[in-house]
Amino acid sequence: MSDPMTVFNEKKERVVKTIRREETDKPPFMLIADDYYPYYAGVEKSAVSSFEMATDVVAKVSDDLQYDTTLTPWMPANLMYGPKIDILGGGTYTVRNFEKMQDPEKVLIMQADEYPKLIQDPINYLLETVLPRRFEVLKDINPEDKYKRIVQGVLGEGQKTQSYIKACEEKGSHIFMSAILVNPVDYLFDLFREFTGIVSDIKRCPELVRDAGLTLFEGYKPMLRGLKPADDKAIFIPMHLPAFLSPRDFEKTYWPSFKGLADYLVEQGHNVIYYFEKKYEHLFDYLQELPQKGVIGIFQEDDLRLTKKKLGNTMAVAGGLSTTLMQHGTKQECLDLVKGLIEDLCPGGGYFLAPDTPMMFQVDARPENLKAIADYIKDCKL
Amino acid sequence: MLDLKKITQALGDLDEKNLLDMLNEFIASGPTVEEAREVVAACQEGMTLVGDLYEKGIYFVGDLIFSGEILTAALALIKPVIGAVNGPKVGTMVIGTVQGDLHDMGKQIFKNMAEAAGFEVFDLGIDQPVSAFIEKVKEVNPDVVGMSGVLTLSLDSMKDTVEGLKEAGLRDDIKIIIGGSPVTEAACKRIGADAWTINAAEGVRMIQGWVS
Repeated sequence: MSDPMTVFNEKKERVVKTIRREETDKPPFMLIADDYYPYYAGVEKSAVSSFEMATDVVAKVSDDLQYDTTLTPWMPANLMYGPKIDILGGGTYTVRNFEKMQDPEKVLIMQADEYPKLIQDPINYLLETVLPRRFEVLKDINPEDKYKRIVQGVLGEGQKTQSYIKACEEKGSHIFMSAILVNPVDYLFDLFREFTGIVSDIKRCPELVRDAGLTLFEGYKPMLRGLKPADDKAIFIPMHLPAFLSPRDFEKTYWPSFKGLADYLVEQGHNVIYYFEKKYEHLFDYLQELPQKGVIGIFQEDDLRLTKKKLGNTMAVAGGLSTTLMQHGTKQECLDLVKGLIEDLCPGGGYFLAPDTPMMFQVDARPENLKAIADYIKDCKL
Repeated sequence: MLDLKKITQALGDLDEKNLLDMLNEFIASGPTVEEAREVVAACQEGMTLVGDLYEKGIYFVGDLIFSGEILTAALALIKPVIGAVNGPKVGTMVIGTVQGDLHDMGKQIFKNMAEAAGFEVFDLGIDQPVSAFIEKVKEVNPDVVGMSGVLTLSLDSMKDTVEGLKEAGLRDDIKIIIGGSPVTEAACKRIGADAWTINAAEGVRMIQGWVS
């Protein structure tokens, strides 16, 4: 049996090659899971009170499944998000039953007529107008304390998270994600305008939405300069709004800052992994214009064979392992699925076997089905 | 009198400005209650056009949501003329996102389209426990109960809700439709619902079939 460091490095090499869309010795397997980790490990979330204990949970799953990489390790909500939320005295996110949740009724804090203020002076607008609406603790305090508190609230106990990721890797679990971002127009959607607000803005004042996105993108740049690129890791960008937009609306409003950010990140040496939630086929023509290297797309509902055919010259693709089948299908049906994916998508490289949906709940896979898939992949040679 | 076809078309085209301009002009002309009701019906036909375009893949969810915004604005203009905008009610529905799920959008789209089709819709909101569905069903005695959810976990909550309605002796008097991305034919059977959909326009047609 190879020593753990050798095995880890082999996995890492498989990851790097797949990002580069090169063929590998065996099918690369990326786990995409969060609260499924403790379930699979047979551990109650409430019993995990430290990052050390969480590291053991991740190591147990990694040892058993022998995946090549995991998008993120388990992110125990009470340890990772609770302290950040407390710093800002609440807000739109809460931790309930050890899960992070966003209350959609608390999202709308920016009015449609405020776009010009955001575009003109984003920092002042965010610090003085919008964020104090959400966070009471930011009202009536001096600018320096306000700034410090926001930085703490955004980064939280960032050092602890970094140490946690390092500890997971030292125990053999390669972690794919180096940071998480949202595209600028999704930032407006997720945090300030909610869905009805943003889609109405897109119809009524598309130029302002586009320009607000571009303004936020410029605001991201100083923050991103501090991030060190790594060829085996990627910045994770979950895509929220575009699945719901027509190509015309997407092009006018979302695309300029999305494309700008993608180009910028890749120019800085980063890889970027997008989660294309729901269907994106109607936007494939645009996605073909993303940078030709350093991009990975996880696809939830698109036909992966068609996706690889259309986008395989632009990005590596990931997905295909149906969580529905892993929960409700037989072991044989799961094995048939994985064999078909390997046969059709692994030739030529650039494909990660991965769940189609982030595994968050017990109902996202019967452990014996996931284990059967993992064992098949582990023993498969290409 | 206003050209009702233009009203229908403006809503179908999501041409908010044109529609509201026409309606403002119409209101200023001092219409009768009957004329105003015809305009409401024309708006509802416009929503049907929107639903058709969505089914054809020309419109997307964002367009559906915006059509609901336009309809709300249009009805707000007409309401002072007729007192209430409700035309003949075709049926009653209780709708909610099930326990453990905070997603609102799919439910909202379905609600907009069901209302435009003449249903009286009682919206429980998001993250609703079984007891909330039971209480509301007892209170309003609906024709249809709609359950929405996006998380895979929601399927269990939907099953619990159907079981709860059965135990309360309410299941046989209602039809149940479930919707949301994890919903499938197999899930529908496990849950014990009468129908499932991931397409609001299709779902509204199903519930129309139940009450016709």
